[in-house]
Amino acid sequence: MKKFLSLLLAAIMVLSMASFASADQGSAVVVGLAGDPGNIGPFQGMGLGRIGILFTTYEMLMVKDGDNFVGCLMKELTPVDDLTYDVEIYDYIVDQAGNSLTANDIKFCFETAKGTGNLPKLSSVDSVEVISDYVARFHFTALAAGDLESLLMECPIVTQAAYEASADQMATDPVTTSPYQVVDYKTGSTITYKRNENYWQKDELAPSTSKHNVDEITFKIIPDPVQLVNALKTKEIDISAAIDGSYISDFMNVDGFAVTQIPDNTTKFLVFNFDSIPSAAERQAIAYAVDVEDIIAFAFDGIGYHAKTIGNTKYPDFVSAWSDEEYYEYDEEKAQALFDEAGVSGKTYRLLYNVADDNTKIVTTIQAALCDFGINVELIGYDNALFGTYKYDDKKSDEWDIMLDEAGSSNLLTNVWKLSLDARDQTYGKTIGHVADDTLQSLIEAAINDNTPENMDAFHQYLKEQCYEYGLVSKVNNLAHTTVVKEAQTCFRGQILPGACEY
Amino acid sequence: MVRYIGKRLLWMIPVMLGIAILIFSIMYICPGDPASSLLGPSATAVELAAKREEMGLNDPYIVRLGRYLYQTFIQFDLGTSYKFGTPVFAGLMERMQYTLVIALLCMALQVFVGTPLGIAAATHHNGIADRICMFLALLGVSIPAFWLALMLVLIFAVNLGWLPTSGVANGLASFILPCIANSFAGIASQARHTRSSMLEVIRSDYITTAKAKGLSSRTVLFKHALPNALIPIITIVGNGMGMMLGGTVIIENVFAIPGVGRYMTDAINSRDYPVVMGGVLILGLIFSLIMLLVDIVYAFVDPRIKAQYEGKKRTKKGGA
Repeated sequence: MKKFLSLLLAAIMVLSMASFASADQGSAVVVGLAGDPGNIGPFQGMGLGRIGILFTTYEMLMVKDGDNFVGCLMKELTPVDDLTYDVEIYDYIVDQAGNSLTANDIKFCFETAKGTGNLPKLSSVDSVEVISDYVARFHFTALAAGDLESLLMECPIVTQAAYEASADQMATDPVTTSPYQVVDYKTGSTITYKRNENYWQKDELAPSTSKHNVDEITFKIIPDPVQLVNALKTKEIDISAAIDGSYISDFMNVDGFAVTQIPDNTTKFLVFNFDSIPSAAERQAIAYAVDVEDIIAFAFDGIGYHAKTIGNTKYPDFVSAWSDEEYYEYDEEKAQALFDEAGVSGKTYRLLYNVADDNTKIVTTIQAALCDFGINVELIGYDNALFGTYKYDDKKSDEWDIMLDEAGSSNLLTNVWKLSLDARDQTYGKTIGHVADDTLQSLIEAAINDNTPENMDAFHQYLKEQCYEYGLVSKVNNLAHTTVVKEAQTCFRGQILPGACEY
Repeated sequence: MVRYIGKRLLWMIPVMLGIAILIFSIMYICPGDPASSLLGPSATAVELAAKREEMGLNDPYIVRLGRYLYQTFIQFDLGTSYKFGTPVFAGLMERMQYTLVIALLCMALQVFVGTPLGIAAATHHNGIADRICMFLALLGVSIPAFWLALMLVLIFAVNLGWLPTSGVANGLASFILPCIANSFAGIASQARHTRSSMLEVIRSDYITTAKAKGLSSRTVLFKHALPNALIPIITIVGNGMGMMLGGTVIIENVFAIPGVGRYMTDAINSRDYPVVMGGVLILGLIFSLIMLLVDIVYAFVDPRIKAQYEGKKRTKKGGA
């Protein structure tokens, strides 16, 4: 019996080691994903897991390549009037099943996606008209600055023939125009892609999202953050965008590993509840009292930047002069003076935040900082779904005083601002921080409609002066990877583009 | 016996209905927004509100409950996952294979390691073997599964590199660490219960008689003592199987195993109500069936219980 058991165990170990070895061979890469994409069909909502596999699975009309918007399936964009545009697609696009992509498919995809309600931005698309085989005319209901690019990047495009041929609406077996085709999907575990040898686009015209530098890509879903780190340490995965900042030093200057740092598009910021903190001096005092450098050191292993507004410097409508101006740099004396001016002493703030490792570190740093001023901070952490309820529900607004939030956008800074500061986007006619300020509203509307440096600066200066919200940290993506990956590449959402990485 | 089983099966209908109403009510009062998980962080409040309306989440409790019960018990449809967009029943069945593998392997470990340990402890009562077994059992019930799991990963996967850290891509090797971590407490519990049950039996007069008749220790132990000590052991095994099916949540999350537990944890975090409600209902049904199976096994192990099941039938026949 003992002999049998030892033989069995040895056989299992040999088999498992053999399977590890095979993962390292050839032109293949394994990417660790923290979120489960679930349904990988084209018209699902933009959940966290889905973002990670989006550009490997699908192509859109337009994509963001570096800092520029470029056509992917789209060859030419021609304005007809302010709310009408003609989109011409390449005339040689074929999907992985050999179906040709035409303007009819573009119309089908936008109408189907809009019908699902999962891509709410598409509500601005009034209709899509087929002009010729390769030209579709888009009629929009309204277009603010940057909306056109966002809308053309929003909807994954597939052929109607392939979509209708799929038994499960491509939930597990998408047939797309991408250079990679799903060959195996073990729900909740792995998604494996093989390079499509008949990819339609010429190499020199393919944007970074459509590069195909590796033969096989496997996304491995590992929700536990510690296990994700362990998987990278044992080289079961080659790269992940979800390695927690506090583990990055485990891979720096370590043989067989490298760390690539790429600025992220998201910014952490504080929202002050106007109902409980109506005094501008009090809000400013809190901003001065928080040492952002401490937060960066503690929560992000020293890697990150003090934000200069609600958003980072990556956006084209960010005004470069803001980088050099004073933005509530830590100042104990000013903070104390402003607290005194507002008559704040021994007060308790309830700080609402979304429970995540870096958020917990940020709020505890803030708690410690305000403690120095005799102010108590009660931490109220909720999971993502519950945090959303407290953030958006007007009836819950009396349950928090300060909220730690995070936002980013695919294209413009105004789109970051509008998420929390445009009263038109809230159900109760105020900002997320319950501010009903006509000046603020008119300034943000001006910036959204026409994001000139003057309009942007006017809004930014007013927001800074009133301190309704305070930008904390512009994040940096720490991409820890094995040396199988020579140079890591990410999309504008900070997710890895395995096809575009150098090997 | 058939009549007894039929009666038990019929009793499951109100039980299932009760579970359905209870879990629906819990999810109804549970705060959180499924729309925000579905549309992602870039959706505005207005877009989220529109999605909630479309999903019927603004309807009154009674309307939603009625709709859910009609769909579940009349149409036999557990609904469609908000997050995955696929039928809940199909999703559960797809993931059940992994959970079943873990549950069965863990049960096998529990029975084939825990029971002999318990027997050894009882037959060497207060001896060194007893103390070692009970020390191991104490460790087993004291160590949290997630901590043990991470320690096993650190030793056998990260440091020694013998086994994978997570996932199911490496076949049987993928299940070794999860099963050890998940079954350790079960082995301990099984050993303790077996020991106490065996101790009670081996002190009985008929065991003394058997020994006095000159039967070998092995015969006394396995032919006379063990069958009479089996009832509490079967109860533990039955309960354990039910608990394993529903309780692999932590292990599945730590080891990234796409089983029912992780499916439901994801669903709870993203407020995917159909998956949570469907999962609880299916697990409730499986648990009820396992308990029925345990009762049937009792009848085969203990003739007195079988006589009880059949006794009513005979009485009725006699009366007629």
